Amino acid sequence: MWDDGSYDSEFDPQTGNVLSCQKAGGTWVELGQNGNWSASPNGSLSGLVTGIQNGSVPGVLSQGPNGTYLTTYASTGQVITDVTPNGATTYSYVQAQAPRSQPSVPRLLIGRTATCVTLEPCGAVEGTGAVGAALIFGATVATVVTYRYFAKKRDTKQANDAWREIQRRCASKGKQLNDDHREQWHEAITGQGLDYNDLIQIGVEMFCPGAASD
Amino acid sequence: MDYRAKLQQAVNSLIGKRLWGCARATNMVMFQFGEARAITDQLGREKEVGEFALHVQCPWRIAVDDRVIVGSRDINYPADYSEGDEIPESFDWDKDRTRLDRLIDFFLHESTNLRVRDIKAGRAASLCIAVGENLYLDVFPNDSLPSEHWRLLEPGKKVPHFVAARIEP
Repeated sequence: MWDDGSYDSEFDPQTGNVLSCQKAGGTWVELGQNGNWSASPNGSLSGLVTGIQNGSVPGVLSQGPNGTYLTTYASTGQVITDVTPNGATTYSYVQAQAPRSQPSVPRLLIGRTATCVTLEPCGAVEGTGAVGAALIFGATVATVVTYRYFAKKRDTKQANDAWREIQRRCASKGKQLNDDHREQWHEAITGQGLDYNDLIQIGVEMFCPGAASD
Repeated sequence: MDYRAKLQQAVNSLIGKRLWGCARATNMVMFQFGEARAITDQLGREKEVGEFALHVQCPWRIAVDDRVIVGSRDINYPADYSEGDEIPESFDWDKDRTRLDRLIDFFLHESTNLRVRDIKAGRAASLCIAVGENLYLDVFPNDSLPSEHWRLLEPGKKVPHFVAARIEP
């Protein structure tokens, strides 16, 4: 997947696997599209790519025509685990110890089921391990049947964040919100069990109905 | 009047009021104090609120003597979590019921005499609210950002809210 939300086929000879995709500057997401591709920019998928790359989206679950797919990511956006109906592959990225006076060389570990392969810049060395995470995620996949991506929950003041988002959306419709509006919003939400999206929807409904997220 | 004195004056209105409700809007917890009454909110919805509501966005805890019985970090655990359990990857405290929700419900349901006995406003907008004989609701801001830590309001009344945030030098 590219930064603008367009994506290549998984059968693309240049970018059709995790490593070649990442090497080409793309972000790998298992969407189970059966080889489909799209050259059209897509705002939703572009936002997803941004989230993966900045570390706020640690994983993507999707339901393709052949089953469920899961991709999890390092905070840098590189794939850690790739689970498809055909199996699971885990990846870890380590910085190799470099000889003195030479720049350090990235080294890639790839785990497939119970074995893993270490790719050196000029060759491969087999090893073992790296199966646990894949099995855990595999169990999770079995319970999920709809597409969604899960966002990392930050330990920030989420109500403040929601209010800023309401301000932003209303400003996009030409309405500036002040402390009085915020008091009204607190009165509206008090005493109710609400999630982050509820908080935003209530504020938007109160002050700038119809204001979209973008 | 210095800031701490203003805080103290604002929260003194809770003394003698009964703590009876607590709801969670994402990770902001909203405690309800005083007589419960039904109101219609700005969106036309009926709901029950207290004479006062304390909306808390910073860390807090309820302790009995020296034992914490529920605190803000309990939000990070599923409702049925026990020490050492694996937390499911799918757990989402914004959507799912948490240990915090379970414990606060149990606390409010099982406790009697939850009237506010005393309140001390402390350093940097911290609060120590003594409830009943030996319960303490502690509120303690712990970030340096200028955003709101907590606010005290009187739902349904057109009274300005008291908002505690970082004091600028």
